[in-house]
Amino acid sequence: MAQIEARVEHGEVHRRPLVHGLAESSVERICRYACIAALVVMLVVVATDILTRWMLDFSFEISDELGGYLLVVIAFLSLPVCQISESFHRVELVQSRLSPFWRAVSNLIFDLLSFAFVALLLWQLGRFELTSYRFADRAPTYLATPLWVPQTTMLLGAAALCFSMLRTVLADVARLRAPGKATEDAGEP
Amino acid sequence: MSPDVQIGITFALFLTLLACGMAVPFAIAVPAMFYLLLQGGLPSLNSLGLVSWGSMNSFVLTCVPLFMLMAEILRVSGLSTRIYGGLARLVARLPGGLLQTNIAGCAIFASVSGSSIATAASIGGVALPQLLRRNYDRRLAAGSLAAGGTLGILLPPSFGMIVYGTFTETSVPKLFMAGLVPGLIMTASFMIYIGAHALAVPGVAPREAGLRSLREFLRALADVLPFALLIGGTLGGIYAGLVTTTEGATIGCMLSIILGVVFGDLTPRGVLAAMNSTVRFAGNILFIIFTAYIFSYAISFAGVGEKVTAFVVGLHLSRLEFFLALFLLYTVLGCLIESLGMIVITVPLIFPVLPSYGIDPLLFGVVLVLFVELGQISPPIGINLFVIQSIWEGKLAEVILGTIPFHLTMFVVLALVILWPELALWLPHYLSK
Repeated sequence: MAQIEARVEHGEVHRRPLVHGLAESSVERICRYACIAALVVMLVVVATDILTRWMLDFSFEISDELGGYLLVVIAFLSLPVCQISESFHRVELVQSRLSPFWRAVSNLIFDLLSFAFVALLLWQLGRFELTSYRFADRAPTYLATPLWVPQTTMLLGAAALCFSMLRTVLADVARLRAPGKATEDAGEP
Repeated sequence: MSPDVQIGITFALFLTLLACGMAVPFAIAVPAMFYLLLQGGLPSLNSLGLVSWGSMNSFVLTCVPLFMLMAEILRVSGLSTRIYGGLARLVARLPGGLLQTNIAGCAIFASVSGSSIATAASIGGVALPQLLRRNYDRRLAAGSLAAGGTLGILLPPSFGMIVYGTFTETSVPKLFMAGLVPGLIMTASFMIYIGAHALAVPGVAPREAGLRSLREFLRALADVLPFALLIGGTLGGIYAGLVTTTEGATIGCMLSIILGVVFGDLTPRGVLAAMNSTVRFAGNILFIIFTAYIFSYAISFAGVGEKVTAFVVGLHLSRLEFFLALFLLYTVLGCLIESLGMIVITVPLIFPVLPSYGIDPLLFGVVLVLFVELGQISPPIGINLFVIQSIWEGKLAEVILGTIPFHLTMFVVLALVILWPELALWLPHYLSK
């Protein structure tokens, strides 16, 4: 049966089996910690605003702006974490019917296509960041944040994703080059 | 190459990559980039930076990771076990016994989680071992949990509605209100079906002993109380217009930490584990939304939306025929595309058509989420089927067969909402007066 592969351990849903099984490098670890920090700061900023508004009838009026920036941090810096932990949803409609070798080949093709997309995105985000910095764009808000500062996280996230994609592609190639390895690693769930 | 062929190839590429196993966000992004390059070469990518910033720098979407964190904290704190135990004692006397508890538990967990996977996994993980131990019908047990899990995206807070609201600039709190009555009708319909089935075929569910004393009743109520407080604290403020959706989600996170410590077994390590899971889940969903914005930009760059609108309007369909066409489209898509992907790919094309048929965006939001619900238990890719199958390690075919009656129940509720839009629209209109 074609399927979105899933397994549940202690109530947590995972895909199965891990295709690459790559260990988290320091790049992905730093990104994960940054995302957790952004999540905590987001909670603190919004909760403080609720409390001051409720108790003191006063709002800092920055939670909307900071919340948006922190979401950008989480959205982009979580990408390498998801890539390495293979958390992106995928449909196994065809892959579950392929032989282990052809499954490994298809993984390599998909990862190369994904890498091409991420490389193009990184290039465009770099251009965008540079333009924003040159024109000294500022948010039309009370904080008047220089926009290149929060926008840097998009660039960093895309660069980190590029790095993780590259690791994935290299792992795909290594699996295909090692005799018999593709068959063992990409075995049936 | 004519523009029609180009868009045809792009959609074919999207479906092929998706079906062949490419990660969903990349399967959306790669054809979008391909289409942009076909339309205008490398210069057409120049707006990508602005599209990326504009789509993700959104305060409305901030509630997505926060609602996820809330659900994760509840999961790791073991509160779902507690509520299942409490509900089991409260509703087990009904025909169907613990199967009724499955639906009631899913409905309550759905009211704090927003995700059908989290709902099915949390309640399924607690319920299935007990159901199998007590000799409940395996098929009905699995079906009730897979279908009950789908309540996660209909009953507010719902990620599907948040994404739809963000794309169409429709009020998310009003969408939540619009989903409430259909969600409750769906819950009641599932429970009525289980009750009727258990009365007609007594062997599917053993008779459970009910509450024996007032003390037992109060203890069962105390088990449900944390969730009642959480739902009241989170959604109450949003419905009353006192807080925004993101603020409601923040209150929910804070309350779930407090309740997890007081009523559950939440530890700092558990909070960290919940945050780690949230980063992965949120990253996945936000990336799908982000790539969908690129897809949406690509089709608007080529003016495809206007062409689709002109084509559909030119068909001169009646309102009912339009909904029937949507029904066919989403039934097929539900078998091929993952739920969130279904929303983000189709909404930019279909939403501009709605005014021609006088369809309220709130009503369409609810109908869309109902279609997505159906997709989540539709073979071959309905995610809830696999979540439940993974928990019990049983046959997938049994889970699929078990969901068929719930599928039919969903069709009935969907038809009711389309024929009587007031079921969805009454509450948001009444509360916004």
